[in-house]
Amino acid sequence: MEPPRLEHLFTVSIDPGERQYIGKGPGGLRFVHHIAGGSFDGPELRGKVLPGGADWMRVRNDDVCEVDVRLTLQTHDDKLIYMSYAGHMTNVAEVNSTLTEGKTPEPGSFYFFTRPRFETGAEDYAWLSTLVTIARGHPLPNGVEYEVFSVH
Amino acid sequence: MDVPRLEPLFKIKIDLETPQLVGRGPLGARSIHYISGGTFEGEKIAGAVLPGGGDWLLVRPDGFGEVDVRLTLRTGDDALVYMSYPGLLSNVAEITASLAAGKRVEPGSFYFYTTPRFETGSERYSWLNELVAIGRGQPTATGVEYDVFAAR
Repeated sequence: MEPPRLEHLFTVSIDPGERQYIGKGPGGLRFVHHIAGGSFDGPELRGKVLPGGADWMRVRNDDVCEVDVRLTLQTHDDKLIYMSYAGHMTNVAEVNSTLTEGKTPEPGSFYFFTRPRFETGAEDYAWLSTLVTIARGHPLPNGVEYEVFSVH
Repeated sequence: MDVPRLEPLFKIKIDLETPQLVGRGPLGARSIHYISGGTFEGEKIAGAVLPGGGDWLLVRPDGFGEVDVRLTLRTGDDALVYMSYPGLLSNVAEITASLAAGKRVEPGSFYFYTTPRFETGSERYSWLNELVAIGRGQPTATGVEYDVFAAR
């Protein structure tokens, strides 16, 4: 069974802003982690992550963090792209303890994938809405990075 | 660049009932395709697709279909697995016309990918809960077939 081809669309770096702890609900611990900014870069598009948007994340009782992000990208040629993704990261306790020490967790020590969707009115970037994409996440001491791939 | 690995998970064949044509609303043309049954088979898991569930398909003004499926799998050893996925199918009108004319839809003449997630209470198959998967779809005369891969 021949797998589909994954093409690198872009890598996005998110600078986190304030993190609000909402509390312990029935599904786990709810946080709203605001986005202060960031940047993205890929073969066919690049630019900034605009401030605003957030991750409405939930840390479940089984050591999995569900991410639920909405953000806006601004391309180098001033077009706006709305990006949203749901996903999850496993092994939260260990990852957080490594981050608290200022270190970057080893890629093999967690599973972190999301499913991004895009929306734009810019004709030059309308092709983004015709692709299925998957992103691999990397938790960092000072934020988070995702490599976004399109499926072919 | 180091691209995620896509591991074969299973092949799945889904039989669909005649769709309910809800009509062209503000977002596009909605049709509801209920699932009458099916089968799936992979190295680590195999069984039946249970009747019920379906695809709440929305065909956008640009001709792309937004796939939105929920279904239940029953493994050979009687575990139930809830599977759900969004996805994209290009040139829906053309494909529908070809199938209605009794013609085969050639791979490579369309873009059809999905991103499944799974949920199960079965301990034996709990490894599915963690995964993000990618499905490559093929429309058929009786429904759809997918090759499903786990992202690693």
